[in-house]
Amino acid sequence: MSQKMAEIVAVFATLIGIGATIFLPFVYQSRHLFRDSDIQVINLTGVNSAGTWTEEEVNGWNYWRRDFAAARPVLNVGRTARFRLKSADVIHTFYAPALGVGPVQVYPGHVVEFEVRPAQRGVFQYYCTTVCGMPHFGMRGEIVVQREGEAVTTGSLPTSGKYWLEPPPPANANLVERGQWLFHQKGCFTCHGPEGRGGVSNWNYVKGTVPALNALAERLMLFDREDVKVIVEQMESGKNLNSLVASPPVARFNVFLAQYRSVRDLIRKGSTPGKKDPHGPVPPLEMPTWDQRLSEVEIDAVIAYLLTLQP
Amino acid sequence: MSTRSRQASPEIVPGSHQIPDTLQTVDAKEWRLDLFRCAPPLKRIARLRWFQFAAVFPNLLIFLLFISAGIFGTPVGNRNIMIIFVWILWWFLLISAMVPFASRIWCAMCPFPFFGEWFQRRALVRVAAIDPKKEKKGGPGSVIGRNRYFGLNRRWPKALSNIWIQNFLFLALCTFSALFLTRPIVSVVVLSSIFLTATIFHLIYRQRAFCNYVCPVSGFLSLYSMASMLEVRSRDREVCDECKEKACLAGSERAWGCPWFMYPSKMERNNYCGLCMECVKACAHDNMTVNLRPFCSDTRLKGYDEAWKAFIMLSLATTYSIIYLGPWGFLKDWANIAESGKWGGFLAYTAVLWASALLLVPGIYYGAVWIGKRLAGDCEVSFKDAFLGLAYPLVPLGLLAWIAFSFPLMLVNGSYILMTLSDPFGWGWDLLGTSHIAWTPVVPHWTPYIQVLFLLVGLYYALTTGYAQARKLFGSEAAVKAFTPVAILLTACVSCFAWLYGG
Ligand code: HEC
Ligand SMILES: [Cu+2]
Repeated sequence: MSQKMAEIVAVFATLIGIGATIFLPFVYQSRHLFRDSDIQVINLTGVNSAGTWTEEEVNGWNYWRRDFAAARPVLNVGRTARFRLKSADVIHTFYAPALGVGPVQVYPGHVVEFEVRPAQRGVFQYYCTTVCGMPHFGMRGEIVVQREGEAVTTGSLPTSGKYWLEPPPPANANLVERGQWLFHQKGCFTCHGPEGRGGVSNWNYVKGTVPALNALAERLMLFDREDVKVIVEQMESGKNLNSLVASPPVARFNVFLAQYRSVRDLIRKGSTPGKKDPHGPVPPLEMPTWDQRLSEVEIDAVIAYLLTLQP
Repeated sequence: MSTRSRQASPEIVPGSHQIPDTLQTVDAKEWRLDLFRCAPPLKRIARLRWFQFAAVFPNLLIFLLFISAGIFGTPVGNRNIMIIFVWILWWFLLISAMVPFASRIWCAMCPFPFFGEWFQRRALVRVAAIDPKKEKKGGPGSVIGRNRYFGLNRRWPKALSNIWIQNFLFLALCTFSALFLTRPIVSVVVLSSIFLTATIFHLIYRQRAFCNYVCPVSGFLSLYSMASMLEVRSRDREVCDECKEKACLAGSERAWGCPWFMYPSKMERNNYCGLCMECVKACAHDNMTVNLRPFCSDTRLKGYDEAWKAFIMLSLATTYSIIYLGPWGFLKDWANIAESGKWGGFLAYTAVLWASALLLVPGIYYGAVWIGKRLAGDCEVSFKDAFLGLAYPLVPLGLLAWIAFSFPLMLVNGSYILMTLSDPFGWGWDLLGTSHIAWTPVVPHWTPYIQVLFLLVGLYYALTTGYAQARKLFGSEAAVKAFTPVAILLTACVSCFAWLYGG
């Protein structure tokens, strides 16, 4: 081969090679994704830093944005949908119990595929059920199932926002204010409702919805607002409530103390919600253990805050 | 600078890397195996005009694929081919196979200068040869030797004709290593910046100025290639002395003049030879060849820049071993600024790394050489010669310390290599059926023994070459005394590594 010929071949090889290297992966990917034309493909990526399962493409380039819209996939009754679950950072678990999906563990970099063929219309909640970091409790959303051609129902689930980025209260804030901040910033409100008003449904849970916490004072046997004030003041002053047994600040203090201890314990250790139908799926919202993530003082702060709430 | 009016006598590029003949030491006892004589097909391949294109082209495409994967693929580091293949596989192959056994063979297939060199030569395969006598003034491009080049073809500044830039760039890059290993996009930014810089430098400066003086990877390749078992050399000095055309330097119709500013027929060290095989093709007397040779055959450091490279490499190997293989998790946290956000820790880590690489380690070494020189008594040897001579043992020691360090990383990430091969973008492909193999970090219990073995090999070569240097410098009588402090230092250093690896 003459040098000239070789040169021409090399130039062509270069141009074609570069083009092919750039485009072929995308061609292959779309063939791989849409290999069955009658199947709807739903790509969901769990992004811890954004606190969402998102339908947006999360790649090396845009991962830094850390801001991805929560997915609200729309499926059709009777049409197969293929879910492709990915994780952009840590291990997540995808769970949509009402739709009979999961829990499926999703490891970073692995793609988990499964197919769903919904039989009835409705709006179904999905969750992440591996506590994957601070933004974890926001990783929740809805899957809409409707008849083909129907107008899409609008969302009913309030978004939780980037609660974990909520700036802390000023250094001189009192115990209750700090408790209020913790209740929001740690994500308690995502399950127990804003201001602990409850009403968040929990699939196959004996009580139906996650317990409200705005009546905690009564649960702790403090039926008088004055008593609540006294107790909160004692907590505020940094006293260990156990040391007050000798000189009880409120009536029936021992009864209160027993309840207080059990609630503290529950927050620390968490609690697995009971099933309504024992053969049904595990309720997706579990009271997490807060041992590692809340100090003793912080737990007291949250309790103090909850005591001041009224239904 | 234009060289259009060049005369027939080819331009001798000032051999900034050439060392005075008096200092050149070729040990007559050392063996050489002329590979082109033993295996003529090798010679035929090396002489093919498209040898280098064929070597670079696949790597260019692979590089593009990696960049594409870094941008469009998964952000998860260990599932993106960019990170696993570049920083784990490529690095491991480079340090433990290419450099020790094939010198700077990587430079012959490196895709970074692809576009730059294409632009300079306006050729991928052919040669733009001209006859300087017949060349009229005002022709296109500029003529260097007997080849025509395009671009500005500036000379590289004399003051920068050393590897200091490479030293600092490499240290700077390595400071952020934890970032490369976790975020593909960081690797994309770094690698494409190098690619872009290489291209721009090729437009401005002649030939491989970028590779020689700027490329951050090139610095350690040049240092450790001294130990390599492969070399490009002339067969017979006399043939070269009588040679008129000096085609290896000036080019010919068969080949480009040495792009690395070397005078291949006079080459005594591997440091700045990119194994591009142009001189092999150029030589009309069939006098250039590729030899196999003993480990650690080039034994002379030329300047402080090269010595400092050795200090930097050793400090980095130590730091990385402590961070990545040591039991202190918080240190890794400090180094990994992007994930931890602990700026204080990161600054402390950076300060310690830079101070030890540039001041502390050289300082200690300086002390050891100084004491040694004192012990050796009165002698003619200048301190610089003593320092550079006795710094040479750091070449084999550093190289093997790096191999010892990289070895377990390779084992740990071995399964990721198979996985990313099947699914380079982390998009859920399974090209080879290996994307779902269970994640099995293989770090067998015998790993530390292998690591220590590598270190001992390094120590052996460090001590023997160091002693040989001492004899050359101080004579056989004073050699032991002169070398003792450095030898103790080297042994202590290896013991620290062994302790770190062996626990
Ligand atoms: C992922 C959802 C979730 C989050 C987040 C959560 N909880 Fe709960 N919590 C529950 C569920 C479910 C129960 C009921 C457990 C059961 O029935 O065993 C519960 C029970 C409780 C109870 C006991 C209520 C009762 O009446 O027995 C308290 C107190 C409580 N949570 C406090 C908190 C605090 C404080 C936080 C934040 C630091 C928090 N929870 C965050 C789901 C959650
Ligand atoms: Cu989660």
